[in-house]
Amino acid sequence: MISASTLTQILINGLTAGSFYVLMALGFTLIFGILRLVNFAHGEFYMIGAFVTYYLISKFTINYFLAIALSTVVVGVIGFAIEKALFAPLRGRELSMLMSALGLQITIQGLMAVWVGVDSYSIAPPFTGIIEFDIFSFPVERIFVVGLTLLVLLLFYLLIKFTMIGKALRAVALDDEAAQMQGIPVNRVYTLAFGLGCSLAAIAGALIGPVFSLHVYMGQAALLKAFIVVILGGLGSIPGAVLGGLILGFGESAFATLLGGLTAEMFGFGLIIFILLLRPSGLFGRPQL
Amino acid sequence: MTESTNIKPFKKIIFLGIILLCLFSIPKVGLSNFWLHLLDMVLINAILALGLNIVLKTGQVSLAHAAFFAVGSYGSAHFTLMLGWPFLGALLASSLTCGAMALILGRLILHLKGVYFILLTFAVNELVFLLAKDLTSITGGNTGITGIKWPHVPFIGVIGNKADFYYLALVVFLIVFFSLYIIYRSPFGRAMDSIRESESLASATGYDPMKIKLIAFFIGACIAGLGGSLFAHFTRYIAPFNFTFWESVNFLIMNIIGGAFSIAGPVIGALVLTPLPEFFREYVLWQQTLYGLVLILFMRFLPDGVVSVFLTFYNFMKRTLIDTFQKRIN
Repeated sequence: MISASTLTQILINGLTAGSFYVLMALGFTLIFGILRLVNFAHGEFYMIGAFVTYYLISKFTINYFLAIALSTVVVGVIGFAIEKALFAPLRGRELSMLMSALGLQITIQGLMAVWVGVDSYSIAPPFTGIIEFDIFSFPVERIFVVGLTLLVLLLFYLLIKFTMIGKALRAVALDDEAAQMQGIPVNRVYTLAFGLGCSLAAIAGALIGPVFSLHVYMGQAALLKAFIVVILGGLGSIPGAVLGGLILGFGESAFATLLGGLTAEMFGFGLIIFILLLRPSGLFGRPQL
Repeated sequence: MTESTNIKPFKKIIFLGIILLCLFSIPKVGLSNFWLHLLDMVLINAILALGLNIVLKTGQVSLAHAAFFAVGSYGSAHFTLMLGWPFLGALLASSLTCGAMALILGRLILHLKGVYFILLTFAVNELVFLLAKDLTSITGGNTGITGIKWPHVPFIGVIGNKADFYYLALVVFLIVFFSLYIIYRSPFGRAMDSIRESESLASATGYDPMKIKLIAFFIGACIAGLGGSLFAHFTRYIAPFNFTFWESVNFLIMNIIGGAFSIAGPVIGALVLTPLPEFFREYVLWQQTLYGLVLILFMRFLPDGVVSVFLTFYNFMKRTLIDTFQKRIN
């Protein structure tokens, strides 16, 4: 049978991967819920977040935590600017927005390939060591990833639930025309939601830096994971993104440990096909229009 | 009026004849291998882009076109190499394999609309790409399949160089193009248009949207299979990197830049986009950025593609010409 150490390994890996998927899917689903935009460039914001963190740490020798915060802000601002310039003029044209996001993805990837090249980089891990606990052992680095994700989730929850901004976001997600009639500056909410979503992707990028290596094409795989999670949880649903991320993380981790990498990769696709047959709108999704 | 309607088809036939004559005589003007290679690739890409066009015509944006392209290529390679089938048999068989795959897949995913369909087809494309990479025993993994033979066509013999291959690709292209031309003008074509405009209205009028979308998806996949088979026998080496998500995007961009709602659109798109990488060799790093920017700019300023510009220009010229003629007569 499965030994205790294997089980811990599955749990730790699943929780780390799950945290990271949750962060990716959260921003993605937020942007979809508010703007009705499938953000194909989401993986690229994640990649930019990782690289900004890398440069802040290696070139300016800034503290890791400060670097995460700064890169979140930087990517958020980039997101604001891009939303204003690119998506605001296309408001309401879903397909054109999607294609533009695709174009944006290609452009960002191309630009970054010119600037930083196609080599792999790595961020020196801020934590080393392992917490031993009876027969279980937890790498501190991974606990940090999970802990920070929990913190971000909590802050996000408070923002959505208890602030005026959160109220406006919820109102626009529900019905943008009605929100506008209530005097909510809908266009600003759109821009805000996009920036916020990009920031969340940047946090994921900054967190993953020390765990895996960074390269220009890292966004593609992350985007695919976000897609799978969001289809699983339901497009536009925030609880769905959290649950979907954890399911995918744990499932992949279990399959990878017990059956090998290929089955783990197939697991996500299997999930999607399964959910589409049983519940096309996802676990928490509203039935589609 | 009766006179002009009698003359029109005659004019059309002459016009068509001239174009066909030009198309068939292109390799005779002594082009270098580089240009012939480009022309062959333009034709193959045009076939594939046309295959995507019929899917787009029903209002479904598919990002899984490269998956069918891959199945067509690998299928054709296997039919000829493992089973020893003749080329034409492999061409048809791989096309039908893609069609069968589309029928099964279509039943699963065609009831999804808009972004759901796009996300799902994206995932399908990634799945097929991963399978091509990881099922080493069937696909050769990352090294791909080498040693695919030049096509052998009955009564003609082996098509063993780029100039001869041009004729083969041209014939397949023309068959696909005119089949689609006829389909688009048939009642079925109108049904596809009506479904794209409003699915609920179309079903209220008595069309079965699912059936029509499925048929369009099937035809599109069959065409992709033809393109895939031609590609495999043209490059004689296929590997997973030929069939990435970017390839799907590429076919989509061809449709958009040319104009997705005209049959000439994907052909013009293929004609414009296929040679681009060759001419931007020195700027290979900037090429991707350029691609992305072009796509963004087109979505913003020219969402109906290049064809719409031609049409506007054509209509404008026609109107001004008729106006001047009428003034002269008056």
